[in-house]
Amino acid sequence: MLRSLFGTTKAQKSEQRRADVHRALLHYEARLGGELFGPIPKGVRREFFCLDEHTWVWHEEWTDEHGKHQVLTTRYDVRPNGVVKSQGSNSYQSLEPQEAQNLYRAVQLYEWRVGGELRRIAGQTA
Amino acid sequence: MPRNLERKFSIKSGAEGLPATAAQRSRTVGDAYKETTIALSRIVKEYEQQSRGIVAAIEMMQPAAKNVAPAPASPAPYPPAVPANPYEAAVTADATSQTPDSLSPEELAARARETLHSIPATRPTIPQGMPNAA
Repeated sequence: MLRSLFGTTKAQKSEQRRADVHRALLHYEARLGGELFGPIPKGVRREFFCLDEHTWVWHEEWTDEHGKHQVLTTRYDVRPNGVVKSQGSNSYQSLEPQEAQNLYRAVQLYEWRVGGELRRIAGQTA
Repeated sequence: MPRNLERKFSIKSGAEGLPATAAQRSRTVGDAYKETTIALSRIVKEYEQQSRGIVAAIEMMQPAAKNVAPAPASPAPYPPAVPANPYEAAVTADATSQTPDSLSPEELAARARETLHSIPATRPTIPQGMPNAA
């Protein structure tokens, strides 16, 4: 019984650690991804990352001209019939031509820059 | 390895978690990249085809517009203003050679008299057989 209890605790710790590593990597990717669009203006927090195989997230926080803190999270869902985006509680919208071009370029850069970094981390101590 | 990640997960413990997760994330990013670029390239191509279609339609319309005969030149947008009285008409008729200002009052009066004599009687004649309203 004790062995079983210790075994469960060890598995839980391992799972917890895996989740922590995953979260830390996502934060790291989001920061690198935010830098793909050029210098980030002062007072702006910008993150862009791949959440999973079908989802990209662009998150931005800034202070508007009235000194009010603004937050905008845009989620791009890749579906078999195309790509749609959602912002906040708004329903899904199709992409404008320019937005599709921009996302296309950002995803290419992300794979090159962030994907390259992930491969480097994976190969370093493996 | 990035310093913040290195600090958070030591190499020893990272050997069991970080590289494995990074490898997994790398595969996820690779798959997402492939799927997204395929979907987006399709969208971008569709937009390009649409814009090419619009350009082609405009180009097709342009030669047709060129073949249309030009509209006849209109002499003036409006008919010339009708002089209010014969005196004015006389002055206006002579305006090509002399402006009213260059004519003396006597000359203007003479021109006006000539013009008045040359204008036919404007009172209509009553056709025969018609009842005289007067």
